Amino acid sequence: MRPINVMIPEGSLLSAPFPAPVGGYTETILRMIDVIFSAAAGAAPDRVVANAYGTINALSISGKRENGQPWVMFSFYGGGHGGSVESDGLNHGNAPISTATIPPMEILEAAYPVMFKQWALRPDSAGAGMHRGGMGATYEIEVLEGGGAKAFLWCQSLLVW
Amino acid sequence: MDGQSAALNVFSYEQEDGWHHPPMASKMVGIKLKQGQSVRLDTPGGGGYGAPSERVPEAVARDVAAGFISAEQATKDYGPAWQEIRT
Repeated sequence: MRPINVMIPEGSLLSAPFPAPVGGYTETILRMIDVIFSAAAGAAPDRVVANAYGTINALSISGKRENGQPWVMFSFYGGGHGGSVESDGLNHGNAPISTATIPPMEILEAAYPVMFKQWALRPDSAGAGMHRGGMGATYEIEVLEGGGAKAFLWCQSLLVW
Repeated sequence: MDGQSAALNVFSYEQEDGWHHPPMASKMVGIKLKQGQSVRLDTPGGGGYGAPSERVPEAVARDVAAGFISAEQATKDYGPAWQEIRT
């Protein structure tokens, strides 16, 4: 267990000085996890897992109810984790930056005027390997009260390996 | 590492003229929805570990039987050996 040195030059993406505009740190953290694990794979391939789905999948749907009350359903959604020397990757896990869970659809449907028409594992989404990656998911969400509803998605779509 | 890449994110949304499947961008904003319209998010899987050629055919056959992977994709990724396995 030797320590490693992490060098982050001032003025780079990871060390942006004021007043550089910054935001969306979840995507950057997830990318850094992938970069660090991928670098470690060269030294200890049997001790790292392959990359997970690489984004927080932040999806926001908002609108107004018929009585005028505004609502915002902002949630993170899951994806597949990487395979390891021991096993296939986790199917439909939450992003590996925290212990925050994916909210159950029953809770979301109870709190917001939406209906989940699909909440499913996504076939053919896992990366192939001796131990394949975990599977991503498919969510299909219907808006039940129009009221000027809008959708907003924040994610990255990088090749996960 | 010999593991392969997973499927990419796909975001689709419904409008009056049907489903839209725009090219993926890191941020999608201002999509207006009416009552009864849906959005769909297909999220990526995880990366594979080790060469696909080293996956045991029984595991591939099990995934096909479970619907985790299509027969076509399984043969493309792992070759035809899994087709000999009875599940």
